[in-house]
Amino acid sequence: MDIEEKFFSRHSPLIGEENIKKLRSSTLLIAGLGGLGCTVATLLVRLGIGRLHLVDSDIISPSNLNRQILYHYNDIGKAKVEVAEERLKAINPAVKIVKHKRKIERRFSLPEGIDGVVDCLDNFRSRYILDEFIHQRSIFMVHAGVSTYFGQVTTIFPGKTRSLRDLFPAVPDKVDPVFPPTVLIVASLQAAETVRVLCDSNGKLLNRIAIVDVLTSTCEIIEVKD
Amino acid sequence: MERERGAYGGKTESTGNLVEVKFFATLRLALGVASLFLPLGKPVTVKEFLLLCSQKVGVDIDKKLLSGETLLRGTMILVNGRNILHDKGLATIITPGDVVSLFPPAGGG
Repeated sequence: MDIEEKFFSRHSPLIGEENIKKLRSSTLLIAGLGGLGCTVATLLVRLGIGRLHLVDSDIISPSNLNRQILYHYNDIGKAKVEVAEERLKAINPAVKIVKHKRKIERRFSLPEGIDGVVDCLDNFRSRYILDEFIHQRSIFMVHAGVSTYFGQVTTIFPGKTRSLRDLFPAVPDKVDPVFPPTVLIVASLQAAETVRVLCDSNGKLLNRIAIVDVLTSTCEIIEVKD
Repeated sequence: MERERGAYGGKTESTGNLVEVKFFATLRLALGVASLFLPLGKPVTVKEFLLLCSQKVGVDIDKKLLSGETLLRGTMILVNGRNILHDKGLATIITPGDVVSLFPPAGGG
């Protein structure tokens, strides 16, 4: 058994060889390389995703280091996309990374050939733009957001669910404190949902919102109806 | 934090004249309550219902969420999973047996 086979040997019995192949041939765009994006990218690379487009315009600052697990003290001042690429390729050199050092704004256009988007952004203004992009392309987006001890995850699937703007209309943007474990837990659910959608085109969070409460170690589901 | 039901509620069946109210995310911190049951003798609007909730919790929930006749940005109110903004807004009717969820989506990443 070579390194590549061993790499996936602890989860391939769970998701199956076919899905390992499916992940290897898949391309995702991760919007935002903050707390959610770092954990989502790490998990997807460890799970064997084939290609990632990473979008973030920021540089690493000291306040990022409590929860943005791809970055170290010595990375302060460096571009997130550059450091993230280096660390992710160090985990699994087979992953193909395409960096986009820029914000999600109207003049951004989604790259060709992506199967889905993972929304790890930190503001709804950009999320609503991303929401429009995925509807133009008819591809899925797994959304998450975090604040203090709480976070939510849901899947937006054109034609099967409401749009993000329709689901969460007019959410004001503000910077809240956040308890670091909240970010990693919510991001892990987001990565798991992303793999489910990629592997069976469905997922468990279509028209459902998973709400994580780290204060009480609970997760509840809101069923959303038209 | 007060909790009248278990955390893993999922879809809950309310009984009799009770309405189950679930508070999520930062609203729990602000109100110090996760969920409660409110007896309701007759159907009321969402606006009237928020006043009843305020009396039950002892916190002016209505003042936190409303500006006059307008729902402030940032909090979803769902009646049986349906966002009131896709129904009749604050005039949406709540009847005994309904489940009301109040959820401010988290915006950080």
